This record gives sequence, structure tokens and C-alpha cells, in this order.
Amino acid sequence: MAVLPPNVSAADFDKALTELRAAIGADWVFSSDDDLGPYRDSFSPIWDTEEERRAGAAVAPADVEQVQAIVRIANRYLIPLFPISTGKNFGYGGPSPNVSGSIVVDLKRMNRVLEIDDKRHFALVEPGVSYFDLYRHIQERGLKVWLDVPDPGWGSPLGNALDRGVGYTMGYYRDHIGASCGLEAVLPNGEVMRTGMGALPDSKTWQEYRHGFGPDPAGLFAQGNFGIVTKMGFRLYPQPEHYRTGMITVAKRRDYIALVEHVNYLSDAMIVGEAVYSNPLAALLAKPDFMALATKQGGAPESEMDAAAAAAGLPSWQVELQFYGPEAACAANWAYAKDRILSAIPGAKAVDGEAFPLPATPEQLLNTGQPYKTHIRRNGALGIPSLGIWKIVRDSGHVGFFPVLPRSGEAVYEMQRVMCDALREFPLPPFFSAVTAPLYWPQFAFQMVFAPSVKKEDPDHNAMVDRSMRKAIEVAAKHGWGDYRAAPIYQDAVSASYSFGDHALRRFHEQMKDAIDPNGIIAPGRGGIWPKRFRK
Amino acid sequence: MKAIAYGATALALAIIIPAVSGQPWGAKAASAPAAKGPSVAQRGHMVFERNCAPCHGTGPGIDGSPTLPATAILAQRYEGQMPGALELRTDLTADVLRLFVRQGAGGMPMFRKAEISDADIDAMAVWIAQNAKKNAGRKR
Repeated sequence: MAVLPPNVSAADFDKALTELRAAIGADWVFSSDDDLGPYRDSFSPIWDTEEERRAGAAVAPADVEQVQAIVRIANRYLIPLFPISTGKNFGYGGPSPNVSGSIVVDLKRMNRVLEIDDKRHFALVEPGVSYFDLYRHIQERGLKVWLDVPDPGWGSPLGNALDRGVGYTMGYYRDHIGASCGLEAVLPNGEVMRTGMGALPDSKTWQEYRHGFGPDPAGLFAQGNFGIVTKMGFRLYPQPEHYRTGMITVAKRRDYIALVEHVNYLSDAMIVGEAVYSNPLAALLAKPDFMALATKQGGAPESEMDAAAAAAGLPSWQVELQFYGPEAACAANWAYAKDRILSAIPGAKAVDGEAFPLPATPEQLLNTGQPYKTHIRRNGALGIPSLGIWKIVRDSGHVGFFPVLPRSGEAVYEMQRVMCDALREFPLPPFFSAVTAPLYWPQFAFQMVFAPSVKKEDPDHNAMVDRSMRKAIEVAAKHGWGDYRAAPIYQDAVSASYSFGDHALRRFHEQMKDAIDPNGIIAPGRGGIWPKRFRK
Repeated sequence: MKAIAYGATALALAIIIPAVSGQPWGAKAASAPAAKGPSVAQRGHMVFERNCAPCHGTGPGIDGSPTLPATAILAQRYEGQMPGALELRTDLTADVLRLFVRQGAGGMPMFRKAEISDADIDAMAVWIAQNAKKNAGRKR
């Protein structure tokens, strides 16, 4: 039985579906339970509960004109729309909407690579283009540009950027919304708007100068609900000639603070790509004594951690560095990094990793040639989409909380301690402990990961996971750490934590929402932004 | 070099089968019946390569994993009684494929008709059956 949106009658919903069928073709309007099943969030911790957010229908337009027609029909009947690109935002809600009964606007069929240029290094794509599609497009044409890809390659560059997804190459490209350059959106009134130089008719530089003239509203469409994005441009990384890796280890726990400062320099000076930190002592977590130490209430004493490292003959921390560019530059940058860090941190050691010309050979892509256990995922590091990462998916999937923290050793230790203690009450693996390493996905910040698995057949487990997620958001916020991205069921909580000035930012968004989308039809609630008629 | 080999396969097929922009591969509409003949199998191969093979294929996994994630899980589950890789199976009818594609399983999410049409699933079943026959005896 169809789920109706709030304050919409079954008769009006049926009339809207009839109009939608006429506008885009009956084959692309889905309203049966069977057809809507795949629009549920299969990673949802509220699966099969009253709170689960379920679509009332779905429509799959073929072009911008059909998107405009859908928006106009939705306005007539005050039916909320929820746009998705490839619908693969798993861990963050998948294809499911914020408001049950919404009509999902499934943009998968809008799958054209509109332009790609390997001399000026950009692409312009539609929402339904996946990383796999764009990679294949580049390979088939022998173009000399790279993508920066998130873990699963079935996602959409456009959709990923709009949820501020990240990747694994050089800093600028890792920030996918930051590396976007101009977009086109169907606004809530059905008009089509282009940002940046795209607003200038016959512009030749839409993907080369993102600002255009005047305020640039492109950022409002990321985690926002001000329109349906139908085209987006991206800067592409010119294919580097060479790739080199190396690892630095430090002996003492305290040395990590200096190590982070040096790597920050190397990263901000664009000498290295993603720096991948790991803690060799994580291998000891299987031992109950060490697990107790690493998760000790109030934090593990530094002296005891150093003693554990010494007893195991392991360094306290390590970081893997990656270099891209001309062969000589990669070698010189690695030599510089080694010299800089080893001369400053007593006991630091360096190990040369693999180095090879690009593109990589099939053997090099297997990532089995490093002289040490590597935590770098080779496909991602080389901008090649895959689904190999699905090997980490447990049970029925997971939800994700990724608090942003400063790039300092002190901040890492504080988050380890605070979040470990805060989440101790939940029977979950220790996502936070004295050996939890930060992720260097954003260009200028660290993140840590809390991603408990969900189990469709175990509602009690899922309820516990849901409570742990809400507590993680709350505790992190109290310490000045905000989540960067959230599933619809957590967006209000995360949005509420960004509360400076009595929620001035949220009120600003709400005012804009009411002005631009007075009927509140585009993804109400997305990003914690509710239109007037939905606000309590 | 799974991903690049995958691209090369897609290129070869693209010469035979023109891309139908804005639609799942070869599907005129979600409810269109599958056509007969060799092109159905080729289309099924392309749909499989683009949607299933990155997780269920015979290629190597990432970063030292011997097999792709779903292939590894299924191989473990079947304990040698059946291949882990779907393309080597002989028992995957269109109805069985449709069940898993539309309803998912474990960590595998569901696929929508806007991604893989019913006709695409029918075509995949044809290709898998042909391919399994060719690869009879492979265990992986």
C-alpha cells in the first residue's frame, strides 16, 4: 500500500501520478510495493519500523525538461520530491527520502558524460553517470586525466559531491564538492539555473572558473534542498607520470604530535597526497590485556602504551606517504620528507615503498608488492573505481558517523579518549581506542570513523545502534566535533549541533528555503532544513 | 588490473551494441520483453559487467584479496559445492536473478528498475547460462 506524504490525499496523489505518467511515460513512474522496495535504505537501523522513511512513489526522468515537468506537478499537489543520482549513498540513507511518502526523483537514466577535456582537465556530467561510467569513458578514449574516487565505484560523481564525499588522491581533488566547478539545477519553481560562468550565455569557461560574478550559490546545493542538480562540472587531475610510496614510523606515543605537524606541512605544501596513518599496536587488540589498556577509562597512560610498544618491538605510530608526479620529483619529495622528519624526531625511521610509472600494471594494482603491511587502498590511491571495499560490509550494512577534528596529535588523543568513554556502554567493537588512527580524507582536517553494523533481522540490535549514533553525535558536539555527513534520520540531530548564534545558520537556511521553495517540495528536511509548512 | 580489463571488455561490446543513452542497457522500457538471439546474451554480458561483476565477478579483489567480496562470501557459503562467482553458475534463472536483484541479500542492496530493467535481468540470465556452459568445471 502506497505511503502518502503528509497532508496529501490518496486522490490527489493518484492524480499527480497520472500527470507524471503523462509527462515522462508510464514505464518510468513506479508506485507498486515491489517497484518501491529498492528505494528503501537497505542499511537502515530503523528498517521495518514505523519510523522508517519510505518513498510514496518514484519517477525516473530522462532529461532536464522532464525534471521540470515533475517539479511543476509536485508544486500543484504539494508533494515532496527527493532527488537521487545513482542512489548508492549507503550508510547515509541510500535512496530513501527524509519524508515518508515523498516521490523519489531517480536521476539514474540521465547518464551522459556531456564533456570531458584532458587538455584543460575537466568533465561535465549528468547525475546518473557513475564513477565506473566516467572511468570507462576516460579509458575508452585514452584520455590523460584521473578521477578521484570514493570507495564504491557505483556512486555518482555528482551525487557524491552533493553529499560532500571524499576520495584518496591529492588534497584538492579529494574534496569532491571543492573540486566541482559549476552546476545546473532545476529550481523549485521549475526554472533552470546555472551557476558560475554557466550563467553567462555562450560562456566557454563553465568548468574553469567556478565563481562567475556575484554570490555563488553552488554550495547551497550540497546537503541542501534548493533544487534538483542536473549537471555538474569537475576539475580532473592530470594523469601523473609516476607514483611513489614510503612509510615513516615513530617510536614513542608522544612523537606522534610532531609527526602530524610535519605531515601537515607536506600535505598543505602539496608535496604528498593522502597521508595514511595507522597504529601498529592495533595488532595487539586481540590480547585482552592490551585491549583493556587501549580502552581504559580516562585514556591509556602514555608510559604504558610506550611500554607495550617496546615489549612488542613495534613503533608507536606510522604514516604512509604517497607522491605523485614526475619520477624525479617523487624521489626528491620522498627524500625531503624523510630528511625533514627523521632529522626532527629521534627514533623515527623510514622505509621505502613501491615506486612505479603510471598507469600501474595489473600486478601493481593488486597491491601486494609493498615491503610492509600497507593500509593504502591501491585502487583508490590511483583513482580507479571498484567495489572491492564491499569486503568490509558486515551483517546488513552499517551507518556512519565521521566527526571532523583538528589535524593534531593532541586532538587525536582527546577524541580517542572522549569517544571511547562515551560509547563504552554499547556492546559494539571499539571504534575509538588508544590505537584509533585519524582519516586524512578532507584536505585540511582529520576525521574518525564510527560505523556500527545493522542487522535487518535484529531490531533490538538496530535500536542499540541508533542510540549509539545519537549519543556519538551529542557527545562529539559537546567537544566541538561535528559530523560531516549523515543519513536522513540523523540530519536533524547533526544540524542542531551546528548551533552557533542560536542556530543562526539553520535559520538563515530556513529563510532561504521559504523564499526559494515556498511550497516546500524539494527534499524537505534534507540537511536539517525544513520548509515552513513542515516546521513544528 | 580488473578495472582496466573491465573497461576493455566494455569497449569491445560497445562496438557491437550502441549505447542507449538515458535507459538501462537495451531496455526500451522497464516492462519490455527480452528479444531473442545472440544480442540478448551480449547485452546480458554488458549488464553483468557493469552492475554485478565488480562484486560478483571472477577477477581479483582489492589489495591482496584473492577474490571479489561477494564471490568470496558465496564461495565460503557453498564450501565448494557451487562456484562463488555468479557467471560460473548453472542454476541462475531470470526469476532467481530477479529475486536477488530486486530484494538484495545480506550486505547487497536492492537494484531499481531505473538501473537494471526486467529485460536486462532476462538478458543476464541468458548470458550467465551460456557462459556457465563454456566454463563448466571451473570452481572459483
